[in-house]
Amino acid sequence: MRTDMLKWIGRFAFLALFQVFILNNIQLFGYLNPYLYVLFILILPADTNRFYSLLWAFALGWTIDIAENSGGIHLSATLTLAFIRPYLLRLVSSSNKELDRISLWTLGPSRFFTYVTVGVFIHHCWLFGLEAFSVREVVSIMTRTLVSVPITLLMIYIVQLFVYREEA
Amino acid sequence: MQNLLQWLWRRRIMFAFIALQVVAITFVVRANSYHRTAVVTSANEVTGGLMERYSSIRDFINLNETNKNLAAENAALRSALKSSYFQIYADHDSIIDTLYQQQYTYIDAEVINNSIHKRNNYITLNRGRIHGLEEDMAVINGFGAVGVIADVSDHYASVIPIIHGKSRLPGKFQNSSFFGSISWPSAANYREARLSDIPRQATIRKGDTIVTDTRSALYPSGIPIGIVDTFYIEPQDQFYEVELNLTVDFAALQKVYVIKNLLKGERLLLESEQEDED
Repeated sequence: MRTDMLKWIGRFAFLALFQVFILNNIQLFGYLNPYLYVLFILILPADTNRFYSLLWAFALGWTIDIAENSGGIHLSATLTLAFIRPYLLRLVSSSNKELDRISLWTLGPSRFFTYVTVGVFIHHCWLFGLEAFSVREVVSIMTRTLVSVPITLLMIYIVQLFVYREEA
Repeated sequence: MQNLLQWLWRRRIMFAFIALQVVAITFVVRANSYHRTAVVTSANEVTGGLMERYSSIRDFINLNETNKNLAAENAALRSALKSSYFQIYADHDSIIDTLYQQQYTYIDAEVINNSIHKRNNYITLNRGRIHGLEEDMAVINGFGAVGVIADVSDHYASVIPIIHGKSRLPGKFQNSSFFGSISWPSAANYREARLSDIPRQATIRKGDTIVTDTRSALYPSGIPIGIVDTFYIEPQDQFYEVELNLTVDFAALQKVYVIKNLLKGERLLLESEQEDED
């Protein structure tokens, strides 16, 4: 149990640092914002206490917000993702038993990507909506979301291919 | 009663979520008000220190480019020095200058973190309160206007650059006295901005330079902001919309200067008295 906790703290630190020091400095085109850090919330075991996953989301979102000077938008979006995650999981699987480890390899590509795509889309929509903080910018919010979601998904796929393969 | 408690207990996760979400939204609302009491900002000591270390690596990689820019700026400054002018009028009394009083002082600073691809971008500087920085000071670099200081901690400061959704900056034409307001529309990239409120009778040409205006109380006048790219006016409108190319490249920002206006307090006091009377 203890080593498990350390493993998750390690993943948390890695994804947060990678986001702040690498991804936030990648500056391609006007609209490109990949947010790989949401992967952490997405791959928490399905039987994680829902209150704990909200706390994880709070810590992760706040870390990103402090580094990006973005007020509380990542905090809010990550909390939302953590809250709706159990409903998304119910969408792709009827039993929680097979879901103590969520990855491309345990769920299979089609179920994994349905789950991840819906989750990332909701997170990014919420995030860019709060960032613009104005209803008049709907077009800009949708453009940002539609451009950034595929990039985030691609990165999640790459991470799944290289990092989690042995574990499966 | 029993039932009510059970009902509440069953929805405890929902209530926890709502409580945390209220905290998050409070942060967002505070960050969106202009005078921010920011709780979440990179002008704090922990992230500031981390970013400074990271930025020193990036600085080393960019030394070549930075040197070139500083050399160009030095050359421009040298040519503006008194010693590079030929003295035509020979008058050799040493005088105490009572005609000119210094209005602006400059503090050099280094960008340790910035973003360009968000709707609301921010810059973090490695200068803070102990170096004399305060909120609402203007920030420029060798190419032109950069932004305005938003938050200050003891050693760091965060800047709202021109490329921030809430940024508003008065600007005027260098070759005429028409002035307008510069903002950053959501469709613009980090090299563009929009100048609005230029009246119909103004003559605009592509390539005109837009500079800062003393209407802002923060900037000295005449600091470049952008070059006119395109402009248009609807037949029924009274004002032009002018698209600018910004002179500052926010993707390659490193050395900047923070400007302190020594007479700002006096001016704002006077202007606020005027408003009180109205």
